[in-house]
Amino acid sequence: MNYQLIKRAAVLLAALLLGISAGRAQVAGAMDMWPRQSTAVTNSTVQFGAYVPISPNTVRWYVNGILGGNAAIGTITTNGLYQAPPVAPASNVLTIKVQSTAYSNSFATTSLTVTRAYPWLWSISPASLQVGNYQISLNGANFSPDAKVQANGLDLVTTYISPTSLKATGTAAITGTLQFDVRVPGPGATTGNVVSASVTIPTITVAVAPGTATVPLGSAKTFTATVAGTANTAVTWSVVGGAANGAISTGGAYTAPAVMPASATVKVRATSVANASVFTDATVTLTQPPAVTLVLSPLTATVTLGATKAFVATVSGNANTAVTWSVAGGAANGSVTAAGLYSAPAVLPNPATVTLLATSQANALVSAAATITLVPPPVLVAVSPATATLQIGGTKQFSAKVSNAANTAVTWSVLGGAANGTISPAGVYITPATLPAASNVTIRATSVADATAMGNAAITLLPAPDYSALLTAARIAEQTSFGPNDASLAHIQQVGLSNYLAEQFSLPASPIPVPANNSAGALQQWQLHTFTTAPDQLRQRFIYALSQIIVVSADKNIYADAMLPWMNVMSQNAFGNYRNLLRDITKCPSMGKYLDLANSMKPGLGGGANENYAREVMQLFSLGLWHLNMDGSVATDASNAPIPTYTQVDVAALARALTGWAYAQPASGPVYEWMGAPMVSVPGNHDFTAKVVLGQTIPAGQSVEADLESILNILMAHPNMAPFIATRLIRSLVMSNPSPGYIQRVAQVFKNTDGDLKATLTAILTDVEARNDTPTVNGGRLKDSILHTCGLLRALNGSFQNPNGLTYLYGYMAQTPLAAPSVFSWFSPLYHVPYSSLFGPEFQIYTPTEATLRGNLFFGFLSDPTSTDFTVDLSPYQPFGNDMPGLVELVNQKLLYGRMPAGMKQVLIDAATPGYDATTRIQTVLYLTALSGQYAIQQ
Amino acid sequence: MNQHYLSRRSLLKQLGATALLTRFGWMNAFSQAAPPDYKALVCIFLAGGNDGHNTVIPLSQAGFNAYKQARGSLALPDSNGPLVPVQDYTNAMPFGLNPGLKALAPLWGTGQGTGRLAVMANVGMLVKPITRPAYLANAVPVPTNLFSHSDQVQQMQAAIPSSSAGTGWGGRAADMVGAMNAGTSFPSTISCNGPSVFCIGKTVQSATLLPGFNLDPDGMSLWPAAATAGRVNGLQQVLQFDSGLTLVQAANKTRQDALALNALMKGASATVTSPFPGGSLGDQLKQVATLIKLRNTTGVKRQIFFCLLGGFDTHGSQSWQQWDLLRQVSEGMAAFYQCTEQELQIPNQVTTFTLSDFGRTLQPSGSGTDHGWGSHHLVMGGAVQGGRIHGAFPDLTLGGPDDSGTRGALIPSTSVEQYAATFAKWLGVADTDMPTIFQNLYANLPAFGGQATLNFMG
Repeated sequence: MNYQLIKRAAVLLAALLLGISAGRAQVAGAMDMWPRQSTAVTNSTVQFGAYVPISPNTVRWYVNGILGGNAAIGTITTNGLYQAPPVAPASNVLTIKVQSTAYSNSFATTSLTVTRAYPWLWSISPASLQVGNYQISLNGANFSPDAKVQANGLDLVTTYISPTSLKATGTAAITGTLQFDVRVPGPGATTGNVVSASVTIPTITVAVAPGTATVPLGSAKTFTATVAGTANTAVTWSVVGGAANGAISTGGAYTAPAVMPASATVKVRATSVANASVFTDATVTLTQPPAVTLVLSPLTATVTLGATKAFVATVSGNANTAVTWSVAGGAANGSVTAAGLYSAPAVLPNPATVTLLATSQANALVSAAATITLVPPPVLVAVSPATATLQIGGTKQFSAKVSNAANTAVTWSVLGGAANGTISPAGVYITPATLPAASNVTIRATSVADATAMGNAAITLLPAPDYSALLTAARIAEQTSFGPNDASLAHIQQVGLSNYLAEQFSLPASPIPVPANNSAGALQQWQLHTFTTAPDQLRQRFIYALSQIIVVSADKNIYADAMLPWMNVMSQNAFGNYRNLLRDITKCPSMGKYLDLANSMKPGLGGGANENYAREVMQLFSLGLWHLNMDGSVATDASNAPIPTYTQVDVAALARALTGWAYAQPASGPVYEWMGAPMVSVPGNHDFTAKVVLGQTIPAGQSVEADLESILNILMAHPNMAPFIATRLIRSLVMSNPSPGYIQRVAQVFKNTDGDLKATLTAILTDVEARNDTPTVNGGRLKDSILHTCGLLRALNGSFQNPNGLTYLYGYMAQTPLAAPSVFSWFSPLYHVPYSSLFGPEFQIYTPTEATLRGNLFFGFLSDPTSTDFTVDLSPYQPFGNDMPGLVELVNQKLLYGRMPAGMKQVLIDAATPGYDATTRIQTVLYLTALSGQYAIQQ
Repeated sequence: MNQHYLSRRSLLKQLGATALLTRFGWMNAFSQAAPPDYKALVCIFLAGGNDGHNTVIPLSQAGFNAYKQARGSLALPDSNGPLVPVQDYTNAMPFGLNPGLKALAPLWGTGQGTGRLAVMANVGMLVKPITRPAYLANAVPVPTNLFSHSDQVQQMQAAIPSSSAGTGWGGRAADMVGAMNAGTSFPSTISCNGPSVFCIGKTVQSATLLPGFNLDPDGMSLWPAAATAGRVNGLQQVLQFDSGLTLVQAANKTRQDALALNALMKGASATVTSPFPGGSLGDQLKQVATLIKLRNTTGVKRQIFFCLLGGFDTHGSQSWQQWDLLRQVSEGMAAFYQCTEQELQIPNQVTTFTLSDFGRTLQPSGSGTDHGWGSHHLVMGGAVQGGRIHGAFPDLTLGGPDDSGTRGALIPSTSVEQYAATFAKWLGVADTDMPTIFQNLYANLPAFGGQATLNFMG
């Protein structure tokens, strides 16, 4: 049918009837449209027409007010042909509107319901149903995947097969008729026609399986019953003829009677609980049972005390093959499990022969016996570790575990006797002093309880290296540098002490840089770098020692220019004469600032004579507080009291003699506290009166310079000078507790040479006490933070970089380079080892905190190969990453110069062995050695 | 890598506290009942030179007028808040504390026996008491390098009026009460802010225990667990190895002590639950409380602690800066007192006090002040004669009798040696030992009117 033509005709007709002509708009009555309140199946079309009594008669079509509609609600053409959408919209009753193009208030509307296709149901199968669960197949048309089959209007569980086929499951509760239809849900939902099915009651049946059975007397047989035609599938079991014919459980387990009844054929019956009139029988033929036999294996056995043994009992002739196990004589003879596992007792019974019984549970008269002979277990001895490798001089703890004897004691022995080493009763093996002919040694632990029981361990002995030359060189390096490195050790061994000292004395001093930004911090970084790299190690180490006697600190002299004059004076005078050093330091502007001698004036002027430098030059730089004997011991008076070196009167007089020194001024004009040249004398500020200092008179009228010379004469001539300086230097370089003789020998050289520092240093380093390579109980000195850390870097053939960012760490370790907290330096030279009468100056800054921080810096050295603050070279250790004795021996050489105790070697081997990789193991051995007291002490 | 070395380390459970204690001789103390005899001094050093003039302000009509006239633009109160009003209960003289000290107000008390906080007025380094005319005429010696940070920090911590001091008065006092700490190797002077002269003695060991730094040895936590055990056990054995060499043994002992101390400080008994304000000083005081809490475990009976807060060198922008610093001081001190009272329950056995480089000029320079001399200090604790302004409160007239010059750098009326000696005596230093600690004071005792110690403590 051509709806298009109809519609056009209708519009034309209306226009003609109403006399409307195009171009003149007139309203002539209400618009109308058709079809009205129509229905459209999805995807179908509907042609609408309109009555338009208006000129012009042109119209627009709307769906739900939308011109032309849209995909969701369907579209409508300008000719009124509505195309339904493929899916019905949620609100499926739509409004179709036709509107005059000329007069928007002239329009007509109608509703249009979009529905899904009508689901036809042609037939169902089966056509009739029984009460209970059912499944039906449905045949029809327009079925959709979401279609629901309904029974009496209620949804069933539906399975979509095809557009013409569905399956559904449901339950028919009662008899009667069920009306089925198909519903397509959702927007545009539509329910199809009904097809009915009758529902009837089913017939109950009972089936028993097996239908027939043959059962021996006394045996059991289980039957099953299947009930059909009812939801209640329970049955009641019974034996026809009663107990004489056997018994049956509620679960259908039939047990035949022990005695043959009158008839050998009996029936067991299953009766439906739902309908007691429905039952089914099974026929049982009873037979005589076979004879029960029991076989036990093994029949004889020997079992160790405390051990177990499995026995097997095989029952035949009866369905019940279970046996009951027992041990004759009870628990003293052991026990047996229900599975036949015999456990021997811990203690030997008397007699030691035990009978094990197995009895058939089917027939208690049937049993078998096994004879078990019990024997005690052998004594075992296991030695741990089973193997070890030791160098001559090493020790090793072994342990022995004795099993099966109350007495676990062992006696230790070394096979081959003392030539192969000795072992203590506690199992500590000590190698022989020399390598035996056969380097494989066996040690043995023998049980005291059973002398035939023993365990062995195999030890491979390695020769002890000769480290004496290494040690000699290393001790020289420790006393003359910031620690040995491979190069210095090799060189000292090659040239010997005196040539080495001569070389060091002749080396030019490392130049001290002038930092571009006048930063004292840059000098600190430079110094750490220089300590670890400078060729003139002896000079640097000696400057370091002298700098702790004659102190200037960047704590007060915070700019580099105020530190440099002092550093240069120390460097230039290090191998010179102490008198010259004192002169230069007195005139040094760094010191002038630090201890306030600069601008010190005679009484009555300015602040008057400043006593600060006067006091410290005596107390700290030359004489000390108490009169000393030449051997460094404190001199006492008649009442055994120490004698003060000087009094406040001496300080005041010395201060006056030192008045008149002032900062020099550059040619370019006055500069505040100029550090560019030694201080100059200002006679107007000088006290020209006579002074008596330490009993010596400085005559009146002397110049500033002449008074200084007089002071130097007085100090240099004072008997304290030599022992005071000798003691300080020995403590700083060699040992904290030198013998009086050592001090006296050095002091005598200082005195004889009038303070020649090269001669004094040579005396310190060549003294028999310094050169004694055998450790003494109270010998050595603790490394301070700088020596300890610089030393480890050098031992690892590394150094501090310049610049570096680590000086702040030394602050935490109480030893900021170039920045002692006071003129007393970082630690007191008189500080004692804690809880000891021994001197141990460096212990003052070795508390738990500083010890931990030093250790953590050590770990930083060992674990941060990419640091820009320092370098280390761990490559010599890499080849030993899997050879713990070899690794430990190398570390022994590098850090302890062969002095590592054998016991410590074993500790380190054990500590490093579990390491994940070579790097970790190398780190462990180096780290623990660096943390050891052996490494902390310069021995 | 820098911070690496000081960062926290994971707990090494292998370093069991009890096992270490028994080895290091602290077990005796551990096994005894709580020692009732315990005293601690806590020094809070206000580094840079705290302006005492704006810490304690006279509120009498005459006093406040003089203050306002001399202080000019820096006169309080200002936008940081109202002054904290206090009065000396003995004479009802009114004073105001810097608004930053608000948190300490409750400790001032309401009369005799109620105060836990006092002010010691105009304390500074002196050789001998000195008047303005004597000072201007150089007639009496004065400490070297007055007004110099590096020198005055040393002198105030050393209580020695020259810059040459190898020891501090805290360390020397600890030396003298060393016998009371016999039997423990726990350090008796502890700085929570890095090494300080204050803590150094002639015989005692001084430790630095920075908050957050827990003495964990680095590199002791690695995979697999057996490798960790290898290092940890190996270190223990290396440190216990008997070398027969005294110094080696002593060095090993120090490191063993470090491990033991680390375990102690991580133990349950070292957990302080009282609230402390954050920030450097709050952390330091919490560390002090933690260490005090360990006293029964360590057996130490006399302890001296050093804390430091920097930033007081207020040459410019003083108003807010000083208020903020004093706020940290007061909040830290108040929290610390609460902890000693509520948690540690020894408020009368812990005395806290301030110390600083010097005071500052009364006359401002721009928005700040310059280096001065005498200054007011705070003293806190249950044993303190609280609620009072002790000592002579100075005349705040510029060029007046207490001015060393024209700008209000105060001539101290109390020597820091007297201030320190009072604490030392309270701590238990014998009278006969006092001259050893405070040599200048006792050498010039007649000039000080024979008054070595003051009466602000119990």
